[in-house]
Amino acid sequence: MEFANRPSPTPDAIVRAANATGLSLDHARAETVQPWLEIIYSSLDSLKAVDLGETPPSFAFKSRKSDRAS
Amino acid sequence: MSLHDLTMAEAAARLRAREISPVELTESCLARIGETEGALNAYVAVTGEPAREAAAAAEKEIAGGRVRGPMHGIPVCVKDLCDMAGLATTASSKVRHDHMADSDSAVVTRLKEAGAVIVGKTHTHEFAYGISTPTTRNPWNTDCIPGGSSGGTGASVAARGCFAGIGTDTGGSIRIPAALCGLVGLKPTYGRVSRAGVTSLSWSLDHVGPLARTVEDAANMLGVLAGYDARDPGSVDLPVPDYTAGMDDGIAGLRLGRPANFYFDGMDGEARTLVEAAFDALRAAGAEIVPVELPLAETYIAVEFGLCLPEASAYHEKELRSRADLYGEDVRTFLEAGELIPATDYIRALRVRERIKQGWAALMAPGGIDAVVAPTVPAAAARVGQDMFTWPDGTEETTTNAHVRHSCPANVTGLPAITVPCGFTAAGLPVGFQTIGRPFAEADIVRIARSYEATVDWSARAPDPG
Repeated sequence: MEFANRPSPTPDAIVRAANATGLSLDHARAETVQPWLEIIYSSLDSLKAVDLGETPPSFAFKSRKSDRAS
Repeated sequence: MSLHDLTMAEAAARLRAREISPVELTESCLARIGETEGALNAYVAVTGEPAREAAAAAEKEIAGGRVRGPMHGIPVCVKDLCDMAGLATTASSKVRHDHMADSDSAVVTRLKEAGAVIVGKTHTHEFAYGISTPTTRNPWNTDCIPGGSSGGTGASVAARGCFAGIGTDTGGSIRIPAALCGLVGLKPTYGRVSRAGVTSLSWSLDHVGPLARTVEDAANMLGVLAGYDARDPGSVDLPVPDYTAGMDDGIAGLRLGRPANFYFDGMDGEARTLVEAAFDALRAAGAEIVPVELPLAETYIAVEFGLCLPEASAYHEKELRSRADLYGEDVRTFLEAGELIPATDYIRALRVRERIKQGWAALMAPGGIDAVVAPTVPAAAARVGQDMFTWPDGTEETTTNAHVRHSCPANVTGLPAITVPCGFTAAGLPVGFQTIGRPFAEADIVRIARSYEATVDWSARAPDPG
């Protein structure tokens, strides 16, 4: 299945999304966040190319006996 | 030579022989901090009087014939993310101006139980969320950054203000300052050292470990710090070996992977030459250098930031809504951006992480390689305020991305990694290479680092920050 990458976030969209989380951001702050968020979204979108199948999340490192040093 | 110029192992031997006392050692370090602090600003707080009291107690015990171990009576510093009862844990942030710790973090408890003398709390990049530590300067050139986020520990240990120190490593924050300050830094396996009482940046990526001047000193300090702690959900209940026991056994026959992708793609030429010379030394010591293709390398940075940003924003959720103006501009911006990462992206990063870990486990499975060896940093220390590196092919990369890129594979996988100095640039700045091993194989990577260290004398050089 192909995933579409998300569009660049506009400052107005950032203000609305922040407000939805309960974080009050004014337009000036949103303009500061915007270029960084664009880079971050682009980077995260690149992960959609990995075919994950049924791979579960790895919440933290858990040692298996077979992994350990001899 | 002053007492603070000894290595920790040398100082410990002279303490055991009662040739010197912990009080003399501590006074030597406090005096050295006094000489260098104006140039470096490595410390949030120098704890002179408690240190003198601890040193006097250690002196009395050692005189009575009770030596607790290799850190008894040894002056050390602690990154100011780690709680110490009765002191503020500032995390080098105005947000924490009213924060006071009412108990010791696990690592401080272990240091105290080992008889170490804590001379102060060192600066971090604000809340460990960065690689430059802007409060502090590099002792090899005070126009340069010490690296971060454990920059205060790196600067002070390198400048001989103490013998070793605590750092934390979420995207390289032990190894980056260690490499840029000419030190050994050891990020243990995830779960090996308790994070109880340590301010978190990202729970699933945070590690705590030592910075020291030699491999032996770092290994001894890890032995003090390591161990199970039920208060840390990531802690793993495994016996703690003597990490120095086999460190001089050599590396003949080991198969060490040299990444053909990822690490050398963007790197300063002079730093690369020094790392290539380290590969030659490892080969001469009997290791087989094997080219390897790192699995899913194109995803490492995305997974690192995809986990770190939302976890950090979750940790700071309350303060970001009540005192956002007290954060530094860079940290505030990252925290605000992290609020806007959907849970689906976070979960995808966790799933890709699992695939990455499977790929690295296959690399180091029986019949494969014993460890990966790679540059720790892409270049020697950047100048204060420098945001970008320009690589030999003309491409540019932010200093943050370049440093995290080199470090994050060991954070994403949770694998142990040790950096050791591998030389100095023509400008007199150190760089290092790192060895990444199997889970809980810290003794193996100590042996590899020690084998290289035995062929050079970089640790004998001392900076003169004035």
